[in-house]
Amino acid sequence: MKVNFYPGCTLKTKASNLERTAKASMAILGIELEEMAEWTCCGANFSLANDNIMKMAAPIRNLARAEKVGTELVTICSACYNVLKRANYAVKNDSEKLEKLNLFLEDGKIQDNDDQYHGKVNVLHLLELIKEKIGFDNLKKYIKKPLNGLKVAPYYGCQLIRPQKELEIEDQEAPEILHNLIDALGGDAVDYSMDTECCGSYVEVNRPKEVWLASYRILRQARAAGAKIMITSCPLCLYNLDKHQFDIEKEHSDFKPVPILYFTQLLGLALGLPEEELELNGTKVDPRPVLKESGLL
Amino acid sequence: MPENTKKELNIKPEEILEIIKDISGQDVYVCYQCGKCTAGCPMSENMDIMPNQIIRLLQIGAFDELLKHNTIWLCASCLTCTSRCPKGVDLARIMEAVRLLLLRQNVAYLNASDIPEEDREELPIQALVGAMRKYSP
Repeated sequence: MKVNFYPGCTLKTKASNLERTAKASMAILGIELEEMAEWTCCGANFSLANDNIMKMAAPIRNLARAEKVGTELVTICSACYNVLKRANYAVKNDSEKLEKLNLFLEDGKIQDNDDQYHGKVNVLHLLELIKEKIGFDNLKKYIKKPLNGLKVAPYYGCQLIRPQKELEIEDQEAPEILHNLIDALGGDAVDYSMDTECCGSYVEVNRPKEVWLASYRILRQARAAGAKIMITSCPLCLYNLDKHQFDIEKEHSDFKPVPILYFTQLLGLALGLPEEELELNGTKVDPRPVLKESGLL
Repeated sequence: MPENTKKELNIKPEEILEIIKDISGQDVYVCYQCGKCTAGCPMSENMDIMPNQIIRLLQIGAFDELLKHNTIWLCASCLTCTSRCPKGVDLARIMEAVRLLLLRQNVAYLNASDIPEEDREELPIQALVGAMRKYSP
Protein backbone atom coordinates (compact mmCIF):
# COMPACT_ATOMS: atom_id res chain seq x y z
CA MET A 1 0.00 0.00 0.00
CA LYS A 2 1.25 3.49 -0.91
CA VAL A 3 0.49 6.54 1.18
CA ASN A 4 1.10 10.18 0.30
CA PHE A 5 3.87 11.48 2.55
CA TYR A 6 4.87 15.02 3.55
CA PRO A 7 8.44 15.02 4.94
CA GLY A 8 8.95 18.72 5.82
CA CYS A 9 12.18 20.71 5.99
CA THR A 10 13.83 19.17 9.04
CA LEU A 11 13.48 15.57 7.81
CA LYS A 12 15.48 16.56 4.75
CA THR A 13 18.31 18.03 6.81
CA LYS A 14 19.09 17.42 10.50
CA ALA A 15 16.51 14.68 10.98
CA SER A 16 17.14 12.71 7.80
CA ASN A 17 17.58 9.60 9.97
CA LEU A 18 13.97 10.04 11.10
CA GLU A 19 12.80 9.90 7.49
CA ARG A 20 15.02 6.97 6.51
CA THR A 21 14.16 4.83 9.55
CA ALA A 22 10.46 5.59 9.07
CA LYS A 23 10.56 4.55 5.41
CA ALA A 24 12.55 1.40 6.10
CA SER A 25 10.31 0.37 9.01
CA MET A 26 7.10 1.04 7.12
CA ALA A 27 8.39 -0.94 4.14
CA ILE A 28 8.65 -3.99 6.43
CA LEU A 29 5.03 -3.34 7.44
CA GLY A 30 4.01 -3.25 3.77
CA ILE A 31 3.42 0.49 3.54
CA GLU A 32 5.34 2.70 1.14
CA LEU A 33 5.70 6.34 2.18
CA GLU A 34 5.63 8.08 -1.17
CA GLU A 35 6.92 11.65 -1.00
CA MET A 36 4.35 14.12 -2.33
CA ALA A 37 5.30 16.29 -5.29
CA GLU A 38 6.33 19.94 -4.96
CA TRP A 39 5.94 20.30 -1.21
CA THR A 40 7.25 23.37 0.60
CA CYS A 41 8.06 24.08 4.27
CA CYS A 42 4.87 24.35 6.35
CA GLY A 43 6.14 27.30 8.40
CA ALA A 44 7.32 25.28 11.42
CA ASN A 45 4.83 26.75 13.85
CA PHE A 46 1.16 27.58 13.59
CA SER A 47 0.44 31.30 13.70
CA LEU A 48 -1.77 32.23 16.63
CA ALA A 49 -2.91 35.51 15.04
CA ASN A 50 -6.62 35.68 14.28
CA ASP A 51 -6.45 38.72 12.05
CA ASN A 52 -3.94 37.52 9.47
CA ILE A 53 -4.17 34.27 7.59
CA MET A 54 -1.12 34.72 5.37
CA LYS A 55 0.90 32.26 7.42
CA MET A 56 -1.64 29.59 6.52
CA ALA A 57 -0.85 29.95 2.82
CA ALA A 58 2.09 27.52 3.00
CA PRO A 59 0.28 24.64 4.74
CA ILE A 60 -2.86 25.11 2.61
CA ARG A 61 -0.83 25.15 -0.61
CA ASN A 62 0.71 21.85 0.49
CA LEU A 63 -2.73 20.42 1.24
CA ALA A 64 -4.01 21.60 -2.16
CA ARG A 65 -1.17 19.72 -3.86
CA ALA A 66 -1.75 16.64 -1.69
CA GLU A 67 -5.46 16.72 -2.56
CA LYS A 68 -4.63 16.03 -6.22
CA VAL A 69 -3.23 12.64 -5.19
CA GLY A 70 -5.74 11.56 -2.59
CA THR A 71 -7.53 12.28 0.65
CA GLU A 72 -4.76 11.24 3.03
CA LEU A 73 -1.50 12.95 3.86
CA VAL A 74 0.91 11.35 6.31
CA THR A 75 3.58 13.28 8.17
CA ILE A 76 6.04 12.43 10.95
CA CYS A 77 7.53 15.62 12.38
CA SER A 78 5.31 16.78 15.26
CA ALA A 79 5.53 20.42 14.13
CA CYS A 80 4.53 19.63 10.53
CA TYR A 81 1.65 17.60 11.88
CA ASN A 82 0.53 20.44 14.12
CA VAL A 83 0.75 23.13 11.43
CA LEU A 84 -0.86 21.12 8.61
CA LYS A 85 -3.63 19.77 10.80
CA ARG A 86 -4.47 23.09 12.47
CA ALA A 87 -4.52 24.97 9.15
CA ASN A 88 -6.72 22.22 7.75
CA TYR A 89 -9.08 22.51 10.73
CA ALA A 90 -9.22 26.29 10.34
CA VAL A 91 -10.26 26.25 6.68
CA LYS A 92 -12.61 23.28 7.03
CA ASN A 93 -14.52 25.22 9.68
CA ASP A 94 -14.40 28.65 8.05
CA SER A 95 -15.31 28.86 4.38
CA GLU A 96 -14.37 32.54 4.21
CA LYS A 97 -10.80 31.74 5.23
CA LEU A 98 -10.64 28.96 2.65
CA GLU A 99 -11.95 31.24 -0.07
CA LYS A 100 -9.43 33.99 0.76
CA LEU A 101 -6.54 31.55 0.76
CA ASN A 102 -7.66 30.04 -2.53
CA LEU A 103 -7.79 33.51 -4.11
CA PHE A 104 -4.24 34.04 -2.92
CA LEU A 105 -3.08 30.66 -4.25
CA GLU A 106 -4.81 31.40 -7.57
CA ASP A 107 -2.80 34.64 -7.89
CA GLY A 108 0.45 32.85 -7.25
CA LYS A 109 -0.12 29.93 -9.56
CA ILE A 110 2.58 28.95 -11.96
CA GLN A 111 1.27 28.24 -15.48
CA ASP A 112 -1.41 25.57 -15.27
CA ASN A 113 -0.44 24.48 -11.79
CA ASP A 114 -3.83 24.83 -10.12
CA ASP A 115 -3.44 25.07 -6.35
CA GLN A 116 -7.06 25.36 -5.18
CA TYR A 117 -7.88 23.50 -2.00
CA HIS A 118 -11.29 21.94 -1.40
CA GLY A 119 -10.87 20.81 2.19
CA LYS A 120 -10.81 17.09 1.43
CA VAL A 121 -7.47 16.02 2.86
CA ASN A 122 -7.15 14.22 6.17
CA VAL A 123 -3.77 14.81 7.84
CA LEU A 124 -2.44 11.77 9.68
CA HIS A 125 0.58 11.33 11.89
CA LEU A 126 2.65 8.20 11.16
CA LEU A 127 1.72 6.93 14.64
CA GLU A 128 -1.97 7.20 13.70
CA LEU A 129 -1.29 5.39 10.44
CA ILE A 130 0.37 2.52 12.33
CA LYS A 131 -2.49 2.43 14.83
CA GLU A 132 -5.25 2.54 12.21
CA LYS A 133 -3.80 0.64 9.23
CA ILE A 134 -1.69 -1.96 11.05
CA GLY A 135 -3.00 -1.95 14.62
CA PHE A 136 -0.75 -2.34 17.66
CA ASP A 137 -1.84 -5.94 18.28
CA ASN A 138 -1.18 -6.87 14.68
CA LEU A 139 2.17 -5.06 14.78
CA LYS A 140 3.42 -7.68 17.26
CA LYS A 141 3.38 -10.27 14.44
CA TYR A 142 6.13 -8.38 12.61
CA ILE A 143 8.48 -8.13 15.59
CA LYS A 144 11.79 -9.94 15.04
CA LYS A 145 13.63 -8.58 18.04
CA PRO A 146 11.30 -7.87 20.99
CA LEU A 147 12.65 -5.17 23.31
CA ASN A 148 12.98 -7.56 26.30
CA GLY A 149 11.04 -5.30 28.63
CA LEU A 150 13.38 -2.34 28.01
CA LYS A 151 12.11 0.59 30.04
CA VAL A 152 11.32 3.35 27.55
CA ALA A 153 9.98 6.81 28.39
CA PRO A 154 7.49 7.99 25.77
CA TYR A 155 7.89 11.73 25.24
CA TYR A 156 4.98 13.46 23.50
CA GLY A 157 5.88 17.13 23.96
CA CYS A 158 3.35 19.70 22.83
CA GLN A 159 3.03 19.87 19.05
CA LEU A 160 1.85 16.30 18.64
CA ILE A 161 -1.07 16.52 21.06
CA ARG A 162 -2.20 20.10 21.64
CA PRO A 163 -4.77 21.47 21.02
CA GLN A 164 -6.78 18.28 21.43
CA LYS A 165 -9.95 19.78 19.93
CA GLU A 166 -8.21 20.31 16.59
CA LEU A 167 -5.68 17.47 16.47
CA GLU A 168 -7.89 14.77 18.00
CA ILE A 169 -4.99 12.32 18.06
CA GLU A 170 -5.00 11.68 21.79
CA ASP A 171 -6.10 12.91 25.21
CA GLN A 172 -3.84 15.94 25.69
CA GLU A 173 -3.35 15.27 29.41
CA ALA A 174 -2.96 11.48 29.23
CA PRO A 175 -1.90 10.38 25.75
CA GLU A 176 -1.27 6.69 25.11
CA ILE A 177 -0.22 6.20 21.50
CA LEU A 178 3.55 6.09 22.15
CA HIS A 179 2.95 3.96 25.26
CA ASN A 180 1.01 1.51 23.10
CA LEU A 181 3.75 1.43 20.49
CA ILE A 182 6.45 0.70 23.09
CA ASP A 183 4.38 -2.08 24.65
CA ALA A 184 3.69 -3.60 21.21
CA LEU A 185 7.45 -3.70 20.53
CA GLY A 186 7.97 -5.70 23.69
CA GLY A 187 9.25 -2.80 25.76
CA ASP A 188 7.96 -1.44 29.03
CA ALA A 189 6.46 2.06 28.64
CA VAL A 190 7.39 4.09 31.69
CA ASP A 191 4.77 6.37 33.25
CA TYR A 192 6.12 9.72 34.39
CA SER A 193 4.49 13.06 34.95
CA MET A 194 6.42 15.10 32.37
CA ASP A 195 5.61 13.24 29.15
CA THR A 196 3.51 16.11 27.77
CA GLU A 197 5.61 18.95 29.23
CA CYS A 198 7.08 21.26 26.58
CA CYS A 199 10.87 21.06 26.09
CA GLY A 200 11.17 24.79 25.41
CA SER A 201 10.85 24.54 21.62
CA TYR A 202 12.19 27.46 19.54
CA VAL A 203 13.18 29.40 22.69
CA GLU A 204 16.39 27.33 22.35
CA VAL A 205 17.50 29.65 19.54
CA ASN A 206 17.68 32.63 21.83
CA ARG A 207 17.69 31.43 25.44
CA PRO A 208 19.30 27.95 25.60
CA LYS A 209 19.88 28.06 29.34
CA GLU A 210 16.14 28.31 30.02
CA VAL A 211 15.47 25.38 27.69
CA TRP A 212 18.17 23.37 29.44
CA LEU A 213 16.29 23.74 32.73
CA ALA A 214 13.05 22.58 31.12
CA SER A 215 14.90 19.57 29.65
CA TYR A 216 16.47 18.76 32.99
CA ARG A 217 13.08 18.55 34.71
CA ILE A 218 11.70 16.22 32.03
CA LEU A 219 14.75 13.92 31.91
CA ARG A 220 15.08 13.74 35.70
CA GLN A 221 11.46 12.63 36.02
CA ALA A 222 11.85 9.99 33.32
CA ARG A 223 14.99 8.66 35.01
CA ALA A 224 13.32 8.60 38.42
CA ALA A 225 10.55 6.48 36.90
CA GLY A 226 13.20 3.99 35.72
CA ALA A 227 13.55 4.93 32.05
CA LYS A 228 16.69 3.71 30.29
CA ILE A 229 15.90 5.45 27.03
CA MET A 230 13.39 7.99 25.68
CA ILE A 231 11.55 8.22 22.35
CA THR A 232 9.93 11.13 20.53
CA SER A 233 8.57 12.07 17.10
CA CYS A 234 9.77 15.67 17.09
CA PRO A 235 13.23 16.66 15.77
CA LEU A 236 13.31 19.80 17.92
CA CYS A 237 12.36 17.90 21.10
CA LEU A 238 15.11 15.40 20.33
CA TYR A 239 17.62 18.19 19.79
CA ASN A 240 16.68 20.17 22.92
CA LEU A 241 16.48 17.17 25.23
CA ASP A 242 19.72 15.64 23.97
CA LYS A 243 21.89 18.69 23.56
CA HIS A 244 22.40 19.89 27.12
CA GLN A 245 22.64 16.62 29.00
CA PHE A 246 26.39 16.77 29.62
CA ASP A 247 26.05 20.36 30.89
CA ILE A 248 23.27 19.22 33.20
CA GLU A 249 25.47 16.37 34.41
CA LYS A 250 28.23 18.84 35.30
CA GLU A 251 25.87 20.89 37.46
CA HIS A 252 23.92 18.03 38.97
CA SER A 253 26.16 15.15 39.99
CA ASP A 254 23.18 12.85 40.61
CA PHE A 255 21.97 13.22 37.02
CA LYS A 256 22.52 10.35 34.61
CA PRO A 257 22.08 11.10 30.89
CA VAL A 258 19.12 9.54 29.08
CA PRO A 259 19.66 8.58 25.43
CA ILE A 260 16.90 9.75 23.07
CA LEU A 261 15.76 8.10 19.87
CA TYR A 262 13.11 8.74 17.29
CA PHE A 263 10.25 6.29 17.72
CA THR A 264 11.02 5.03 14.21
CA GLN A 265 14.52 3.94 15.29
CA LEU A 266 13.10 1.84 18.12
CA LEU A 267 10.43 0.49 15.77
CA GLY A 268 13.09 -0.40 13.18
CA LEU A 269 15.21 -2.10 15.83
CA ALA A 270 12.31 -4.31 16.91
CA LEU A 271 11.40 -5.02 13.29
CA GLY A 272 14.91 -6.34 12.74
CA LEU A 273 16.54 -3.57 10.69
CA PRO A 274 20.32 -3.97 10.71
CA GLU A 275 22.20 -1.70 13.12
CA GLU A 276 23.71 0.50 10.39
CA GLU A 277 20.25 1.31 9.04
CA LEU A 278 19.09 2.49 12.47
CA GLU A 279 21.58 5.38 12.38
CA LEU A 280 22.07 5.41 16.13
CA ASN A 281 24.96 7.90 16.02
CA GLY A 282 23.01 11.16 15.64
CA THR A 283 22.80 12.27 19.26
CA LYS A 284 25.29 13.47 21.87
CA VAL A 285 24.12 10.82 24.35
CA ASP A 286 24.94 7.53 22.65
CA PRO A 287 22.03 5.05 22.88
CA ARG A 288 24.15 2.04 21.87
CA PRO A 289 25.57 1.11 25.32
CA VAL A 290 22.05 0.85 26.81
CA LEU A 291 20.81 -1.17 23.83
CA LYS A 292 23.83 -3.49 24.03
CA GLU A 293 23.33 -3.94 27.78
CA SER A 294 19.76 -5.01 27.07
CA GLY A 295 20.92 -7.52 24.47
CA LEU A 296 19.36 -5.61 21.59
CA LEU A 297 22.49 -4.87 19.55
CA MET B 1 13.99 43.96 29.20
CA PRO B 2 15.52 43.48 25.76
CA GLU B 3 17.13 46.63 24.44
CA ASN B 4 15.15 46.60 21.22
CA THR B 5 11.71 46.67 22.82
CA LYS B 6 12.53 50.01 24.47
CA LYS B 7 11.85 51.75 21.17
CA GLU B 8 8.84 54.00 21.45
CA LEU B 9 5.65 52.46 20.16
CA ASN B 10 3.52 54.38 17.74
CA ILE B 11 0.27 53.24 19.38
CA LYS B 12 -2.07 55.16 21.67
CA PRO B 13 -2.44 53.45 25.09
CA GLU B 14 -6.26 53.35 24.75
CA GLU B 15 -5.91 51.41 21.48
CA ILE B 16 -3.73 48.64 22.86
CA LEU B 17 -6.47 46.37 24.21
CA GLU B 18 -8.45 46.80 21.02
CA ILE B 19 -5.46 45.67 18.95
CA ILE B 20 -4.76 42.73 21.29
CA LYS B 21 -8.39 41.67 20.92
CA ASP B 22 -8.28 41.96 17.11
CA ILE B 23 -5.13 39.86 16.85
CA SER B 24 -5.94 37.26 19.52
CA GLY B 25 -9.73 37.10 19.42
CA GLN B 26 -9.53 37.05 23.24
CA ASP B 27 -11.16 39.25 25.87
CA VAL B 28 -8.67 39.72 28.73
CA TYR B 29 -11.47 40.63 31.17
CA VAL B 30 -12.76 37.06 31.07
CA CYS B 31 -9.74 36.01 33.17
CA TYR B 32 -10.36 35.84 36.93
CA GLN B 33 -6.69 35.39 37.86
CA CYS B 34 -6.80 31.86 39.24
CA GLY B 35 -3.21 31.25 38.11
CA LYS B 36 -3.71 27.84 36.53
CA CYS B 37 -1.84 29.03 33.41
CA THR B 38 1.18 29.90 35.53
CA ALA B 39 1.00 26.65 37.50
CA GLY B 40 1.39 24.55 34.36
CA CYS B 41 3.76 26.78 32.38
CA PRO B 42 7.04 24.94 31.63
CA MET B 43 8.94 28.21 31.20
CA SER B 44 7.51 30.16 34.18
CA GLU B 45 10.51 29.32 36.36
CA ASN B 46 12.59 31.73 34.28
CA MET B 47 9.99 34.39 33.59
CA ASP B 48 10.36 37.55 35.62
CA ILE B 49 6.61 38.02 35.81
CA MET B 50 4.13 35.14 35.57
CA PRO B 51 1.79 34.39 32.64
CA ASN B 52 -1.34 35.31 34.63
CA GLN B 53 0.29 38.67 35.45
CA ILE B 54 0.55 39.43 31.74
CA ILE B 55 -3.25 39.30 31.58
CA ARG B 56 -3.56 41.31 34.80
CA LEU B 57 -1.33 44.08 33.46
CA LEU B 58 -3.43 44.20 30.28
CA GLN B 59 -6.63 44.35 32.36
CA ILE B 60 -5.40 47.41 34.25
CA GLY B 61 -3.88 49.07 31.18
CA ALA B 62 -0.26 48.81 32.35
CA PHE B 63 1.23 47.98 28.95
CA ASP B 64 4.49 49.85 29.56
CA GLU B 65 5.05 47.77 32.69
CA LEU B 66 4.36 44.57 30.74
CA LEU B 67 7.07 45.44 28.22
CA LYS B 68 9.72 45.63 30.94
CA HIS B 69 9.58 41.86 31.38
CA ASN B 70 10.86 38.86 29.43
CA THR B 71 7.70 36.76 29.77
CA ILE B 72 6.29 37.05 26.23
CA TRP B 73 9.67 36.12 24.73
CA LEU B 74 10.08 33.02 26.89
CA CYS B 75 6.62 31.69 25.98
CA ALA B 76 7.18 28.61 23.81
CA SER B 77 3.58 28.52 22.46
CA CYS B 78 3.14 25.01 23.89
CA LEU B 79 -0.57 25.66 24.63
CA THR B 80 -0.50 24.10 28.10
CA CYS B 81 -2.11 27.27 29.55
CA THR B 82 -4.65 27.40 26.74
CA SER B 83 -5.65 23.79 27.18
CA ARG B 84 -6.16 24.11 30.94
CA CYS B 85 -7.80 27.52 31.42
CA PRO B 86 -11.10 27.06 33.30
CA LYS B 87 -12.49 30.20 31.65
CA GLY B 88 -11.46 29.20 28.13
CA VAL B 89 -9.02 32.08 27.73
CA ASP B 90 -6.46 31.32 25.03
CA LEU B 91 -3.42 32.87 26.70
CA ALA B 92 -1.04 31.56 24.01
CA ARG B 93 -2.95 33.76 21.54
CA ILE B 94 -2.68 36.75 23.87
CA MET B 95 1.09 36.22 24.19
CA GLU B 96 1.29 36.03 20.39
CA ALA B 97 -0.78 39.21 20.07
CA VAL B 98 1.57 41.18 22.35
CA ARG B 99 4.60 39.89 20.41
CA LEU B 100 2.95 40.77 17.10
CA LEU B 101 1.92 44.21 18.31
CA LEU B 102 5.64 44.91 18.76
CA LEU B 103 6.87 43.02 15.70
CA ARG B 104 4.39 44.79 13.44
CA GLN B 105 5.98 48.06 14.56
CA ASN B 106 9.16 46.68 13.05
CA VAL B 107 10.69 46.02 16.45
CA ALA B 108 12.67 42.80 16.05
CA TYR B 109 13.38 40.83 19.19
CA LEU B 110 15.90 38.67 17.37
CA ASN B 111 17.41 38.98 13.91
CA ALA B 112 18.81 36.03 11.99
CA SER B 113 22.21 37.73 12.12
CA ASP B 114 22.06 37.69 15.95
CA ILE B 115 22.21 33.88 15.93
CA PRO B 116 25.82 32.68 16.16
CA GLU B 117 26.95 30.90 13.00
CA GLU B 118 27.82 27.76 14.92
CA ASP B 119 24.24 27.57 16.25
CA ARG B 120 22.81 28.19 12.78
CA GLU B 121 24.72 25.16 11.55
CA GLU B 122 23.66 22.95 14.41
CA LEU B 123 20.03 23.87 15.12
CA PRO B 124 17.25 21.99 13.30
CA ILE B 125 15.70 24.13 10.53
CA GLN B 126 12.41 23.78 12.37
CA ALA B 127 13.85 25.77 15.31
CA LEU B 128 15.28 28.52 13.11
CA VAL B 129 12.11 29.00 11.06
CA GLY B 130 9.99 28.85 14.21
CA ALA B 131 12.12 31.39 16.08
CA MET B 132 12.17 33.83 13.18
CA ARG B 133 8.38 33.63 12.98
CA LYS B 134 8.03 34.40 16.67
CA TYR B 135 10.86 36.92 17.13
CA SER B 136 11.24 38.95 13.95
CA PRO B 137 8.84 41.17 11.92
